[in-house]
Amino acid sequence: MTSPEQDPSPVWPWIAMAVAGLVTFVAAMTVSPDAVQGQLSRIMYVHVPAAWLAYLAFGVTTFASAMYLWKRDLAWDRRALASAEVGVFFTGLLIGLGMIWGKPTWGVWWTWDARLTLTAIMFFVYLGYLALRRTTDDLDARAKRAAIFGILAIVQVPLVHFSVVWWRSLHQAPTLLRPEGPEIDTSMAVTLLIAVASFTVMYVAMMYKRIELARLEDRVLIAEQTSVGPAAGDAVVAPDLAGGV
Amino acid sequence: MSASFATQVATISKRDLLRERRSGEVLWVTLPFGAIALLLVPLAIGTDAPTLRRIGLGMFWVIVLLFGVLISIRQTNAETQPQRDVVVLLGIDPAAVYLGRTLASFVLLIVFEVVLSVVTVALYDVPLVGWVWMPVVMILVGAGLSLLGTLAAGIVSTGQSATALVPLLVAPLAVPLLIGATQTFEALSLGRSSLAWVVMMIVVGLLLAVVGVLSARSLQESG
Amino acid sequence: MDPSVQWNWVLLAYGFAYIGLVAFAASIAMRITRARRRLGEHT
Repeated sequence: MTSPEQDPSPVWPWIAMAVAGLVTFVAAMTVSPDAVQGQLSRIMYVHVPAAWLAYLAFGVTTFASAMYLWKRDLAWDRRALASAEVGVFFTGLLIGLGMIWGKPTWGVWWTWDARLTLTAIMFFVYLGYLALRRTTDDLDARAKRAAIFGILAIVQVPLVHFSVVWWRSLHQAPTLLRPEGPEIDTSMAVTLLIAVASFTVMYVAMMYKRIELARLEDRVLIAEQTSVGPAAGDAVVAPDLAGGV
Repeated sequence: MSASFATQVATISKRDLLRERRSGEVLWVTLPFGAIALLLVPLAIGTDAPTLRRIGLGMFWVIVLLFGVLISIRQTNAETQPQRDVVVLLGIDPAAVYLGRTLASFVLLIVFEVVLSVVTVALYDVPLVGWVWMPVVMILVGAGLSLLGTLAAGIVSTGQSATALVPLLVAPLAVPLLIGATQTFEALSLGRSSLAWVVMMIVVGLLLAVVGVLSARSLQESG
Repeated sequence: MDPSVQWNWVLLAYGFAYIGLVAFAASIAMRITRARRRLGEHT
């Protein structure tokens, strides 16, 4: 059996990601622009998929955390970590794209509507999860603590969501200027679906590679913790007595 | 014959409160720190009285949440590994340890809230509209924050201090407490009912208690 | 808003998104390479 560092690292995920990115780009650039928002509507074809993935990744992280606490199999911990890191990326992307779309549309980089505020909070929950994992190199302790925080997050997040949405509903009229626009015609809907499907493929490919990385890094940690280097005592040998002992 | 669960909880909280009495950290460090934070804000944003009156209560709750969590952190960090081991060897239920620490944090947080509320009213001239609800909200926020803070400190604690991490974990998850507290008083000032916000904060506390108690045993296991 | 100005924002959005995606993917690839190398050193 070959050791992990000799197994070839799969290339298909990179190809899948490139194809998915290309498909989204072509679809977004060739669809006809929205009547109201004009060319700005093209931003939604990356913004909406990013939002979908941010929430999907969070769901996977919390599901994998629960599975780890149940099965105590580190494979679930690696899936949770991978999804958290991918989730942080897409949440950051989501916030950035939201700001880029918002500035020409509303004239400001940020508004305190429920969705943006919730996304910002989610970003910090993810960051906390990743920061927590850096506090120990003990694989089981790290997995357990991260999983418990994951469970805590999934229990509290609905309440966070509820409180923010309710708070904003009291202070702000519901905005019609959502990235998707108040109405969406068929060609735009199809393009959006293509974009979401492509980004989902991207997520799967990224997860595959990130899990591979997690497995390798765990093996490095184990190797470093169990490796026995040359000891000073090796210099001392038993005396060679004539006749043997 | 081992002590009852309630006795264990009481003993642990008495121990933590005794530690606080000896070290005086909440009274002499965390409380003044919160108070000076309230002092700094007008220095930065201006001393315009109507503005301060408007933001005063909100600032109070933010400071309670961000600085109050330091109380839970301090408790966990002040304990040495041998002290932790003794508790385990005595066979004390980990859930009792969790609830005992939380109770001690809660008591200290109430003191923290009461003193800082006086400071806030003084510095920001906050109108005392609906303050008959203040004890209720202080209790709910104190309970929620101590449950959350003690749990987060337990998750982070690995013997080495990772002090800055606990506030980062607590802050986003404490948002319902922040919004619940501020919206309770805003509703009252507008003549509306704040019962729903109060109920929401109760739900937050109950869920936190459940998660905290269920994870207590798992967190106490070595590693 | 003038369509050419709109296109600028669209370009900014896609540039931000795609550069981010490539950078993130590259970071994973580089870390995989580094981990494999370190594993090789320990065997």
